[in-house]
Amino acid sequence: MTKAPTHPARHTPKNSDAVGAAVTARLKAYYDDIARQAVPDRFLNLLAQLDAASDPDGKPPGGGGKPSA
Amino acid sequence: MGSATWERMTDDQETRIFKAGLLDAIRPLRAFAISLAGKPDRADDLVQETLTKAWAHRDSFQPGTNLRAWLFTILRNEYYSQLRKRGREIEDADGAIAAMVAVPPAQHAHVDMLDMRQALAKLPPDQREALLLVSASDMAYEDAARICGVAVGTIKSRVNRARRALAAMLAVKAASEFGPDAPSHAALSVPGES
Repeated sequence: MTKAPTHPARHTPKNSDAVGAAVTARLKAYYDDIARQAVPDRFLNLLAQLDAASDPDGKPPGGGGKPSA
Repeated sequence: MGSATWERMTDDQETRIFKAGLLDAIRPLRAFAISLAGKPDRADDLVQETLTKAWAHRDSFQPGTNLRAWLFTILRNEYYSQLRKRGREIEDADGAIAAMVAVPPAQHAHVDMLDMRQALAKLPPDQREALLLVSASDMAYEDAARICGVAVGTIKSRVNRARRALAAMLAVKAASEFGPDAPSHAALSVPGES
């Protein structure tokens, strides 16, 4: 008879919180790595362009205030 | 060109606060977009579109409310809108990894990032976004529910399902990530033994 190998991630109720915490910690490490990257110039430039394109009194040329679709 | 050119003497207080909020939100928006879309190029286009729309509709933002959530909603809507236009998106996890502009960390950490990205890409989008909003972005359940347009209970169950699925894919153990695992067991068992 061949013994079947145990599943790598057997989630019993008492283990599930620890597993969830471990997953969240790894996810946060991955996510924070991305969030720490420097802001690409394209976005700083975009914000400056959007601002400059507005009229001097601050209203956008096409008329703002319409709710988002 | 930095943030200094982004401020104007003539801006009123609310506009200045809004602008500061947009600037502060770029990194979180990028992190959410990259993790949601899986492809840095696609993600940066999403952020571009989000910032453009946010500025165009800034008059519809209620000052004092959650700007972060408002921006994430715009980005999320744009993501799904583009998905619908493109038809069913085939998750190209390998291609995304090849195109990834990697921050060169230690070798071990780099492998971790590849595994996580692949695992996230395999989640259904509704689970992925719930997990990213709540567990990665630390957003409140109520805000995440509003962004996704579902009930709080739905978000909670999606987050739980996503965490379980991720754990299985990453083979995360309760005790330690370096404990004995399936490959060791397989190595010990002898094939064909009766």
